[in-house]
This record gives sequence, C-alpha cells and structure tokens, in this order.
Amino acid sequence: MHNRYEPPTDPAARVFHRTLGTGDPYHDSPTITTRATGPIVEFPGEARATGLRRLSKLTWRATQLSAVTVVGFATLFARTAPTQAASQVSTAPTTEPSVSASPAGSPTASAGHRRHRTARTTTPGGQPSARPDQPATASSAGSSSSSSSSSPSQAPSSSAPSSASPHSSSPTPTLAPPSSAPAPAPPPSTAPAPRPTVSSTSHAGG
Amino acid sequence: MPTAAMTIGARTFPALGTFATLLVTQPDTLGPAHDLLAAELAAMDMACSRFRPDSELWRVNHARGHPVPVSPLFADALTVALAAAALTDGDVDPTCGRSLARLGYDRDFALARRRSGRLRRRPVPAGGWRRIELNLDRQEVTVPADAMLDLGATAKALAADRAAAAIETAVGGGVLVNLGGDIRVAGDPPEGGWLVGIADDVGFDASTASIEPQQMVLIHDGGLATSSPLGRAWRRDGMDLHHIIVPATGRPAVSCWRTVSVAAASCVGANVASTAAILRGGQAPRWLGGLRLPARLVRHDGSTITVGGWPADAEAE
Repeated sequence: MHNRYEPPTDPAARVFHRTLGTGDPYHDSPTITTRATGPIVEFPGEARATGLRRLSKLTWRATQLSAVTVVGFATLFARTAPTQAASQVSTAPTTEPSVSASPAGSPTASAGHRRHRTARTTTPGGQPSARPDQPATASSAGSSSSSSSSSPSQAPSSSAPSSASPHSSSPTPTLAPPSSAPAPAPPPSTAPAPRPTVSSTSHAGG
Repeated sequence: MPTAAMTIGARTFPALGTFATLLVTQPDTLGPAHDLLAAELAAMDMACSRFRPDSELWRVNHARGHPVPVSPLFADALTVALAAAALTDGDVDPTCGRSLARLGYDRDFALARRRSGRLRRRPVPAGGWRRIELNLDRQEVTVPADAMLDLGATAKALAADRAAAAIETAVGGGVLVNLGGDIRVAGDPPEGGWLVGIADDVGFDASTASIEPQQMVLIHDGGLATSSPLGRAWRRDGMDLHHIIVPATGRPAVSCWRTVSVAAASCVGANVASTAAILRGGQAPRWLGGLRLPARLVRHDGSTITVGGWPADAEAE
C-alpha cells in the first residue's frame, strides 16, 4: 500500500513527469515537460486519474453499445410483431376444410409429405365452381406439375380440391371455351327487350 | 326451364371500386341473391384488396418474406392467380403490385387517378410469380420481400364465378353476375339467352346507364370479360398510364388492341384470356383461335376482328 508518492520508475513515463525539487534522482529538467500536442502538467495522481478516465470512458461506451443493442432488438421485434399477429389472426379461418391438392399425375392428395414450404398450386382442369351438378368443362389447357421453391421453373398445376361450403369453389381456372359461343342478338325492333347488361373495361359505374 | 325475358329481376350497386349488376330470372329471389352477392364481394374485398390495411393481401405483402397463414378464400384466389400466370406463360402476372405502385396506382383507383405529382421512382418489373410460395397443406403464403401481389386481374372474375354458383345453388333459377364488365352466368338462362352489350370505348368516368354498347350478343353459359387500357388509365409525368402491365418491364402495355372481349367456360378464364390478348398484341387472334375461345378484338381505329365463333359486328356483316 502506497501512502506516499513515489516517482515512476519507467523511463518512458518520466517524460510526462514533473519534478518539483532538486535532489530528485529522476530530475531531467527543472521546467515543465511538454508533449507534441502541448504542455501537460503532471501531478502525482495522474496515472490513476488517467485510468479512472479510461474506465469511465469504457463504461460510457458500454452503455452506448447497450442502448444501441436495445434499440436494435426493439426495431427487430417491431418488424416481426405484425407478422406474428397476422399469423394469430389468420388462424381462425382455417377451421374451414382446408384445401388439399396433389401434384399433376397424382390422383389423390397425399398427406404427410412435402411439409416444407412449396408453391403447390393446381392443374388447370375445370370450372372454378366445381359443383357436382354442374357440367364439366371441355378440356384443360396445358396442365403441368407442381412447383416448389426448389424448382421454380415448373408451372403450377391444379387438381380438384375438396370443398364443403357452397361459397368455396375449386380454383381451377382454364382457358376452355364456353359450351356455346355468344350468339348475335336479334334486331332491337323484334321485341321489347330489357336493357342489356354491359361488358366493358372496368369503370366507376353509377 | 327458360324464363321470359321480361321477368328478369335486376339490381346494380357499387362494389370493388366499380359496379356490380345482378340479374335473376326469378325476381322474387333478387333479395336473397343480392345478399349472397354482397357477402361474396365483401369477403373477396377483405381477402384481396391491395389497399385495405386489414386485408389478407396487405398482410401478405407486408410480411417481408415471412410465411403468413391465410384463409381458404385467399388461398383459392392466389391459386387462381398463379394458375393464370402459368396458363399465359407469365403474361398475367400477379406480382405486378410493386410495378403498379411505382406508376402511381398505390391507392384506390378513384384517388390514384387524381394525383398529378411526379413519379419519384423508376418502373420496376414484376416480382416473379414463380417465387410466390403457396403451401396448401398449411394454408400459408410467402411473398418475397421485394415482391408485391396484386390480385386485381383475377379476383374480381373469381368473385363473379363464385357468386353466380352460390346464388344458383341457394335460390335456383338463372343468374347473371356482372362485376365491372366481368360476367358470369349460371343456371337456366332466360329465353333466348342473356343479352349482353359489348362496349369498347369506355372510360373510368362512364356510368352504367350512359354506356352505348357497340355490339349486342346473347350468352347462355360460362363467362364473358372485356379488357382494355382505357378504363383504368391515368396520367403522370406527361405519360399516359394504365393498369395492364408488362411484367418484364413494369410499364403499361403498348398494344394494338383498344379492347378485347372473350367468352370462356368461366369468368376467370375469360378475364385471363382477354388480359393476355391485350399484352400479346398482334399474336392474340391466333392464340385465342387456337384455344377455340370466342373473342372480339377492337383496334385503336375502331375496326374489329372476331375469332372462335364470336359473331361479327353488324356493320361488317
């Protein structure tokens, strides 16, 4: 334990050390020593004070780093929270019968495999409303196999998913023609026909 | 049983940013039929609206590449959209959402068309429909962070298909659903068929009562749709823009056709084919003819050609 000041023994430190009197074995100059950046007055507690300053600085840096980390995590959670909330909200509708599908060429859906995320859609092959009492569509225009994230070049295909709700129709669009082509309307003078409904590009209506 | 044309019940109301017309051959069923149609439109809007923050599509588009559980209806709508892309070799791409937003169609069209400021960012190509991951087993959808879905090309037609089928099942009789020109009929048609006017020079401000069809046709089954760059068109930065986007460039299509009307087995099929025909330009007649799809194509000078058994215009006969 040092109760008394002792001059530094390291010669390198002596250049910053100010001596106060004669007879000092480490006396180099009776005047204040200087550094390139300017005069520095050295006092007996300088080393400890410097250490304390460094410790304080390190503590401040650590505090800053912690603050940045907290802000970073807060931002990350803020970004991911809506997704998680959406997941929770969207869970409710899944109580309805889920749509199952099978890749083209597979007659039925095979549950329990392909649990990884895949872009499985269905082969074109029927009208969107696939009710049993409706006539089947004429043909399917270009079927293709299922597509996964690992083979994105494959086009989606469709099958006939099961559906229980009358509002739920199988999403199997085709480019099949109608059973009968549009027919020319009779001349307006033949009968008092009602005003036709119009097919045009989408407009505001009213 | 065919029904006399004069007994048709009709109702028109605004829906999905455009109008909805419901015709039924049994007028006493118009009320329940309207309720079914309104419910279907509300459900489709909640699932597939690009502009509603509470829609499923909004959540999917803003999930930053994370999988999002979706309802069966949204899964159906996306399945249809992806199948449409496959059927058209990617011409009708559901990932044009960001392209449309860059061109200023980033809000309800009635609002977007009024904006006149400069476009701050360059057009961007479609995100790529093959990158969309739809897991039907888990009912999850993953959209890459740099892509944005827009189901407007097919969701409205799908709603017409679904609503017509649901109405015919629930109340019987014949039904016609017309959603902004996307038409689907189901059940027994009225005597002679459903009378449909084909209009090819309609702007967005047109009212349903003011439209003068250029041709009248009768349809008995399936769907009929008309696509055109005229309706959803706006102007920004001195450029005339519209909503039919070339996926590869993210810019509006420059087509030799002003309007294309197509009849198909379903409204979705008709809509997809008519939109793709606009994009395919001069190759469209051969493509439509190869599919045996009846279609009427109108050039910018007003001249028309028909394929697939579509009746010729009266003037050309």
